[in-house]
Amino acid sequence: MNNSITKNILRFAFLLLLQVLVIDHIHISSMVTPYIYILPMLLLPFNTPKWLLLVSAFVLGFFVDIFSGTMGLNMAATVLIAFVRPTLLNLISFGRSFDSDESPNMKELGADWFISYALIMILIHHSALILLEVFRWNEFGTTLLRILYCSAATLVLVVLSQLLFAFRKE
Amino acid sequence: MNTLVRFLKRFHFVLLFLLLEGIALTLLVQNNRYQAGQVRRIYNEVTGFIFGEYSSLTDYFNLRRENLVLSAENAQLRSQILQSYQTYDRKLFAVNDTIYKLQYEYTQAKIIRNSTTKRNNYLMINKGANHGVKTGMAVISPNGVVGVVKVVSTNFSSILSLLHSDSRISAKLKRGNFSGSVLWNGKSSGIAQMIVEQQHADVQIGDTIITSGYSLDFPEGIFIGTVSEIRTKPGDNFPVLNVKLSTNFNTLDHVYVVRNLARNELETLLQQHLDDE
Repeated sequence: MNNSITKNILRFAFLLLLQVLVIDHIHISSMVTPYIYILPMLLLPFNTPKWLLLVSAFVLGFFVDIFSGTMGLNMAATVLIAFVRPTLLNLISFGRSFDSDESPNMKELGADWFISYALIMILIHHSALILLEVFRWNEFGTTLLRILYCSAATLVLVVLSQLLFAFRKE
Repeated sequence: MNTLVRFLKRFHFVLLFLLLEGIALTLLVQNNRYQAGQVRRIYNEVTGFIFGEYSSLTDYFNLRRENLVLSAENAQLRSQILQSYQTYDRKLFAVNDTIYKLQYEYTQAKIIRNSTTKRNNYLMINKGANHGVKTGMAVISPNGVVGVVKVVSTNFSSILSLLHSDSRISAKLKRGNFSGSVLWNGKSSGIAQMIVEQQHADVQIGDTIITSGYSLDFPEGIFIGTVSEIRTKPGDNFPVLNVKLSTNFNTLDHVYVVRNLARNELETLLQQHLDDE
């Protein structure tokens, strides 16, 4: 249990730094920015208390906002996916019971399950984030494309990280 | 108490979510200028609509007073049109068009929300960007200066009243042409202050104060008020005047938004002048 807490905290810290120190400085295009920092929110164990989900999302968003000078923006989007997560996991469990200490991962639960789970979470997060950032309905088409491109970029990185780390332990 | 605890226990997740999300959105709006502007614009539009409806209900009660004001203004305007003047030189009329070029355009607007009791007062009118109102335009009433347009939404605008701590209007004394600026110290809604820029200016109680025309927004010669008190600090020769305002802000109903058609030209000229320095 202790081990799992340490692991999760380290994961939060590492991805936070990766996001603000590396990814935010790579300008592929204004249309495509991966927001990989939400990965630890996806990977928290199934039995994480609900309040802890919200609080960790709040703290994570807060630090990202501090570094990117957009106070409140990432916080709002990240807290939103923390709120959605328990309901979403219930919806897509399809009667399967999850091993409660385990975190949602690709190895145990299969690639299609994990990718659909990650994709829904990422789409919700990115929609909230980008809509709040743009904050108007004009140019809605461009905004929508941006949401889709960014989500695709994040999803690729999330899946890659699963392939790299989750499978290596075998 | 027990019920409350049970309620909190049951809904703690939703409540905590609402709290944290609320904090995040508040921070977002408070710290990011663009989002704050959008929210203010929407707020302006919504409250404008509500107060506009309310105001159309109360319109009838003011009809009598409004009629009096309008007919008085009609009489005043009638006395200004060219037919009211005797003509001595017919040639003047032949070249009339090239001498007089329309510089100020007036848009009539109705006040739908008004405050006079605060330190910083705002008014709201039922004209906005759709009617050509822009930030910075002057607002006057039939009796005198009212304020300056501050925030514009599609159909409504809010106006920084003369009764506001940021308000500063370039003015002059009609007799003697001493210039200065009029501001408001917040003490009485009928009295503003004027700081005269010339030392030892000859000012008397009862002198008329009008707009100077030095600002890009106010036409010259709009009434502001009359001098009611003159104070000069010892050792300081710049007179400070108390001005009895000609506009009664408490009964204000209809106003005019003034559009300076030469504004762009003047602004460009001024900018070039500043650049040269």
